[in-house]
Amino acid sequence: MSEDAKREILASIAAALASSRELEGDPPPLDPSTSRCAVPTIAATERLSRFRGMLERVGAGCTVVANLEDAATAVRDTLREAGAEKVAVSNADVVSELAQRLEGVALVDDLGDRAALLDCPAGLTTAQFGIAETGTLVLVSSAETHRLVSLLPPLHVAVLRESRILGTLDDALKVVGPDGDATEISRAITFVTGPSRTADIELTLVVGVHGPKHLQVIVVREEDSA
Amino acid sequence: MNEMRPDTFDENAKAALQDEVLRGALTKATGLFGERRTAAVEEVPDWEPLRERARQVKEEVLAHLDEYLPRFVMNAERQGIVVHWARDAKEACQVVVDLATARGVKTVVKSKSMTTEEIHLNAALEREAVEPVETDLGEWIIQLAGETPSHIIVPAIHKTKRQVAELFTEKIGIPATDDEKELTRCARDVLRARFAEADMGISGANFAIAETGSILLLENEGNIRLTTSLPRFHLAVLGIEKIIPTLADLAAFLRLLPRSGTGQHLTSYQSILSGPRRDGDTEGPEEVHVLLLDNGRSRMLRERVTRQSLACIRCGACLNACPVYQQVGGHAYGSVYPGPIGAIITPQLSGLHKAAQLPYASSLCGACRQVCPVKIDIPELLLHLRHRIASGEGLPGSDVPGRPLLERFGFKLWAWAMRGPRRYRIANRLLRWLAPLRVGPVRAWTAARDLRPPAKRTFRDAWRDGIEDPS
Ligand code: SF4
Repeated sequence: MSEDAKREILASIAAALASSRELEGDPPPLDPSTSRCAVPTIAATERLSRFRGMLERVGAGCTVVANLEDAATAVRDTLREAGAEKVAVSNADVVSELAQRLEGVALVDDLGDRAALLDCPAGLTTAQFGIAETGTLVLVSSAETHRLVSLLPPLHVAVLRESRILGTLDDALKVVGPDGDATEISRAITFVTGPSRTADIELTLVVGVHGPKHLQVIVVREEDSA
Repeated sequence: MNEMRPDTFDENAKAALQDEVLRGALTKATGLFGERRTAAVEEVPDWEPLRERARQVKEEVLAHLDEYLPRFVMNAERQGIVVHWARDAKEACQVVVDLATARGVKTVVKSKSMTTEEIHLNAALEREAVEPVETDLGEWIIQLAGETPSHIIVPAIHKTKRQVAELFTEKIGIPATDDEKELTRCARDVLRARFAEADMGISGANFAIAETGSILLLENEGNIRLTTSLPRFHLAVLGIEKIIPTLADLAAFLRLLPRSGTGQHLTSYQSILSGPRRDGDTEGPEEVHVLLLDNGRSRMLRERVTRQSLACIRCGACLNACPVYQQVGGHAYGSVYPGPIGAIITPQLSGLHKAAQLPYASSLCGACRQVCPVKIDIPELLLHLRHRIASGEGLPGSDVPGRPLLERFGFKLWAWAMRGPRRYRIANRLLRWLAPLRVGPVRAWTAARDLRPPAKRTFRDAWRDGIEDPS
């Protein structure tokens, strides 16, 4: 049945377009001069402050630290403030390193154990990129197993290297695309801008409806150790 | 609630105008979104070129859909996505039901999708004992209440917090509260359990990318991320018009859509999804399928004027800007697609005869055209559809006549009569004679209009005799 449907739909599209071309002529080709509109570049030196400002605007926290040692302290503080005694950790190397420094916090690291993840108060991941324009984290599934760790717990802590903060949405779409870093597009690329939110009841903003209620981003400035 | 249909817009609208709660909520929502949109748009200096770009990209795809759609399909299949096709709503539901029952699916978690509402998928699943659970908070409230959405961004805008609380107490047994945080938390808990047990997730898609075979979904709540990552089987249902050429083209739409819809610079989440998990992956669905729906879309490609309807990215801005919608709300349109966009899309999808009142549900003020992020000339389309209805031509490629036969006879008579004074006299006599009977063309015409009783003398007679009316 689907084969018939496919053939018929494609035939119907072809017939409709043929009749349009006959009566109205070929549509003009895309005007290349419009393609670069609205893409202000953001200089490397301005990216961190813009990124941070946008994160604050959407109600996410942002801590900038010098190195991995300080990042571990920041993670510990964030977990303590949230009263989280357990944290689910992704499989990124940086996350494993940080996890070793979280004394007194139980780790959930079996990423196939869905029940444990559903029950966990916090999740720790890295982000592959940041976008300064919008205060967005880019999570690329081929680089890290973090789809669920970043989504199920009410607190998401994300660690990001400063050098990975890109300027604009265009820059981000370029690096995750088929001719960017990856030879093939990743299974799931998730852009995260702030906590989960809804205004479905009387237009009142409530955070943490299905995803995390709180997003804390920790930006690490030092290059080599992160 | 009575079922509202697009062919009874006038009565639906009257009922809506008497609903004070609805009108208050609508004023608040449309006003708020309108203001937020204006503020968000002002932040973007290149807004106009951006709209122009987005429109051109859409027009490019639609005018060459015969190339872009197969390209999307080829790349999606290369990524391991299984692609299905459906000519109409019935066929689409059958495909989904077959997929679900073949896998023994009992519970489906759904994220908000107008396309699945268009095909009435939930009813089809329920008939086969598959339970669909809407997971967008507003949609879930509506589903619990057994109602239909009144706004495309905030589906339950017509419900007060108290009504939601009473509904939750009745349906899920929570203690009465009128704190929206508490209500939201309860919804999260109940729905988490449903997510955990569901074997299948059904979503729509905002865009489908030809270059990579990916689909893109935008949201704020996180329920779409759950729907597309927790269950072992994910199906996305989308209209054939959702294609855009490349990943890079997304940037313009990501800047336009959230600002136009909710006034956000970006929604909380965008998911670009490109197939099932691979060997060694511990997460992501094992199967990813896409269902491509025509249901009247391909014939809209025939003319530039109707084709532009398919450029719509469902942002909702035209609803918020529309003075008619602001007063009557979404239910009155009797269709999944309300407001100005509904007034042009519904008649084209379901047939002019089923929604002939909708193109008239507008004052042609042009506010919709001004806010539309993809520059759809909605007033032009409304006039076009009115013309097609009035002339009785219907739409090309559609076998559906514009109006019932007898009313078309009325328009034909009118056209014939206007060609000369003698003809006009004859037609006039005929109508004056028919009017009291309220049959045929007269009845069809008066079904939605008040016909002034004919004057005792015709204007022509009065003119001939000197103008004073003896009565
Ligand atoms: S017609 Fe334009 S303004 Fe209306 S929903 Fe579609 S894209 Fe938005």
